[in-house]
Amino acid sequence: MALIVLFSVINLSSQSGILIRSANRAASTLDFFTNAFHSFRNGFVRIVDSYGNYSVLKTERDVLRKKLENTQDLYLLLKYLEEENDRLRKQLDFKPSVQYPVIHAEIISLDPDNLFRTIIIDKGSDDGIKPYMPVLAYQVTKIVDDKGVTTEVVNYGIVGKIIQVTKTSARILPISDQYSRVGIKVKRTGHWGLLSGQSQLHGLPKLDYISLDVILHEGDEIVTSGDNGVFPRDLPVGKVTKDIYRGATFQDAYVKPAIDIEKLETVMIINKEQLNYKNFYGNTVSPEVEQNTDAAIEKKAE
Amino acid sequence: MILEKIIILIAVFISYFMQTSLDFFQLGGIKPDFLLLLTVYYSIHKGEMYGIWIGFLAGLLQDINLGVMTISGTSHVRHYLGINILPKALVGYLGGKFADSIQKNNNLTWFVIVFIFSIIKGIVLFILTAIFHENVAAEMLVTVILPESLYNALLSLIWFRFLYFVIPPMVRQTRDIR
Repeated sequence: MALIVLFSVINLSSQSGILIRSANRAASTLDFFTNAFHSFRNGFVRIVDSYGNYSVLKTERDVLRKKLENTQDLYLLLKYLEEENDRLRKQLDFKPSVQYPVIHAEIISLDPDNLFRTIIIDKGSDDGIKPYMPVLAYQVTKIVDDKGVTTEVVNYGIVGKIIQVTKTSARILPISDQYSRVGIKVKRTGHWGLLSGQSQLHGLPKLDYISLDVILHEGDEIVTSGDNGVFPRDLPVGKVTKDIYRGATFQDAYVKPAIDIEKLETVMIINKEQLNYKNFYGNTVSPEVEQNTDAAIEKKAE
Repeated sequence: MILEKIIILIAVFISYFMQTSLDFFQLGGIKPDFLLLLTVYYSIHKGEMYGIWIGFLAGLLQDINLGVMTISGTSHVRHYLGINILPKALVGYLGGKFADSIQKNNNLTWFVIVFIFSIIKGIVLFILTAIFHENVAAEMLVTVILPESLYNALLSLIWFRFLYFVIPPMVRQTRDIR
């Protein structure tokens, strides 16, 4: 009976197509879910893929960024080396107008206080530096004119003298320090004077004891006279500023040093034995002085 | 305690290197006195003993930098040890003495205190230089010491905040313990 009913239902449904429609509906429903799942899966895969790509890209970006940083560092290094090379090349080409050998040194410290001026350099007695050796420098300054054209001017002049030496460092007394005194002359006229660091104007040494016969002008060149036994003669010192005062017996003026000490990086020390060596070193006697002592003369006579 | 002293020592050395090696802070040939600022900062916060010792150390470094031992004999250049020590230690002592009676963390107070102490330091340094060295140009008081004091006072407004951020002074001890 049951079989007959089942057969009848199947026959009816097959004839009316209800089974097929139901199957089709079920299939479409399933497809819908399948599609949804597939979409979900696709999305998931895409997310996973994209994450993978992102991490790859991130790594790649990091590597590139590091490379770029390195390149930038390299660029800066190259630029620095280029500038240093230029500077050293100029320094090598540059021949000071003295016949003495020159020791190059770098500045490691400057001016501990505003009242006192001292420069410390990185060369000492191990490199042959002795007290009272004259110190020179050359300095490149860039001047920009009204049209925006930059021109480089090389200044050259004295910085000061060595006052204290240790094995690996030395102290320089700059000409603008209040204890500095340098024998100078006016290049145009040849009159002698004294350049004193004890000046009312900060950083501008004072030119003193210039004869009233000289008419000083702004911009007059001042050079070393070579009379004090420290500096060789005719080394540039600076230029007279517009502050010139005529006193009763002498006239004085302020001098702008050829070298801007505050922007100094390297200096040159002239390896020069002093003329009055004996006075500076007390009992120790230089070979030159020794030749003139009685013992030396006797030794020569023998 | 030892750590704090090590930190102070490092701060003194860093201030010293800033003062002697960097021209970044230089204005018109005048540079600020970082060692003085550090001395005042610690003396105000920690008392006169800290001030004196930091001032002493700071001055000692400056004196050493100037080259205490110069050429003997005919030298006309001789910096006496203590030329910088005395003014700085004095400022440290005064800072500690006034510490209780001033209002801290106030810009105007900092400005006035640092300005006055810079002037005191400058004048004492000037007198010592005049006594123990050759005569000094009196114009230095106006051309060097006054602008330096103003610069110190202005810089202290920023610098003290920076110092407080980097090395905040520990709680001040009572006088009994010290």
